[in-house]
Amino acid sequence: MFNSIGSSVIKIDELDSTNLYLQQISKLQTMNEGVLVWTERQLCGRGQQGNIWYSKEGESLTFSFILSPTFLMADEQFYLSKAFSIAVNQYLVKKFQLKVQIKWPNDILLNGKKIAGILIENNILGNKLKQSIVGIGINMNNQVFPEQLRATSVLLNSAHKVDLRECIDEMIPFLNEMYSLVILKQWKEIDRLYFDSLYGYKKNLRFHSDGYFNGRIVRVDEVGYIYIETDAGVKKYTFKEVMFC
Amino acid sequence: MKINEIQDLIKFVSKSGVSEVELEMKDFKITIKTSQNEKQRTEQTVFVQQAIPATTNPSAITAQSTAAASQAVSTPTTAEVANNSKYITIKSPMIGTFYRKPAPDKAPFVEVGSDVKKGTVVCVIEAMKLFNEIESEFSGKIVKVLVDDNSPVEYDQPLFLVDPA
Repeated sequence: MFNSIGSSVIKIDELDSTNLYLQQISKLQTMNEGVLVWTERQLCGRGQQGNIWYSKEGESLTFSFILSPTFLMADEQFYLSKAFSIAVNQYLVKKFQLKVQIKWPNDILLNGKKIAGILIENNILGNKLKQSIVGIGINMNNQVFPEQLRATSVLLNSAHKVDLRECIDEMIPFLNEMYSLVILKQWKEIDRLYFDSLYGYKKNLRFHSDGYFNGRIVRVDEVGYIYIETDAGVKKYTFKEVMFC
Repeated sequence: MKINEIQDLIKFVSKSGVSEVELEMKDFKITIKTSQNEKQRTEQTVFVQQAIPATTNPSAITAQSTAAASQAVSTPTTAEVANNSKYITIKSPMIGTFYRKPAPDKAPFVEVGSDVKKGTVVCVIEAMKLFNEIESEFSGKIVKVLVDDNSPVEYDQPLFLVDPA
């Protein structure tokens, strides 16, 4: 029986990282699925290996929740990434009327600047997922970023400060709705929603791989490969193999 | 190929210093592996894989080489083959990048000789920004690490050899 995301919401005053915290306690004791942990003071939020998520107290919304998607094969896991990036994107559109988009594979961008990010860490036994910890970071009340970060916040684009705890409550239904599509393996519907919000989908963009080239994103497959069409045909790339310019 | 030709080939390969020779002809394939690295043992492992003849009417040569092949299989080193087959492999459940350590400055999850239980994390595989701790499905001892740290892995690629407990 699935316990929905946010079945309990736990606030912790100060944490290194909400993902790390859930990972550590899940190794010590069995955790109920859906438990969500958040903090206003994340000391070293992690992006992917080594990248630091930059935030001051009360500015960024940082939370993680734990799932047991034992129905998912290891090579279906990219649908978690697609589903939760859609959920965060939809929330920011509906709540703040922001023109956000998903940048492949799963960053949330506003006018070319990062506004939210997702970090998913799974445990795999055999060919199936056993546990999944989903960490989400959204720049909410941040007033300034170092220029080189190319980041922005809700406050900088909507001129009102938000209550972080309220935002969690408001976002939970979006997360549960998208996760229910994963439980039902509604891949076509998830793909449709993902492409609807995907930055650069079927638009002419400039990329860099071996050299610079112009192309159009035509597909992101079930494993997460991106397919870019050029005059020479369609070629697929894995993460870090191709950059947006 | 006659049995004495195969024997000559084995001798030649073992003296040559190479560790593996694979020879494929029209109707059969022979692989000779030598254990050069293990100083105390100089025997050779011979795996002969018989290909299906292309014609429906097998020639005398095919019949002869088949006989030679099956003999070669049963002769030299069934011991080593049996020895290897008791090991279990942990395979990659996905395409991605294989990491032996939780972070670059940390110790590897497991080393050769490490004991693992069901649920022990043996490595991380990163795929499209998702990080996956791969758990062992059985108890045993790590005999060999088959992939280098920080290198790409394919679906089903063997990662570790485990001597089951």
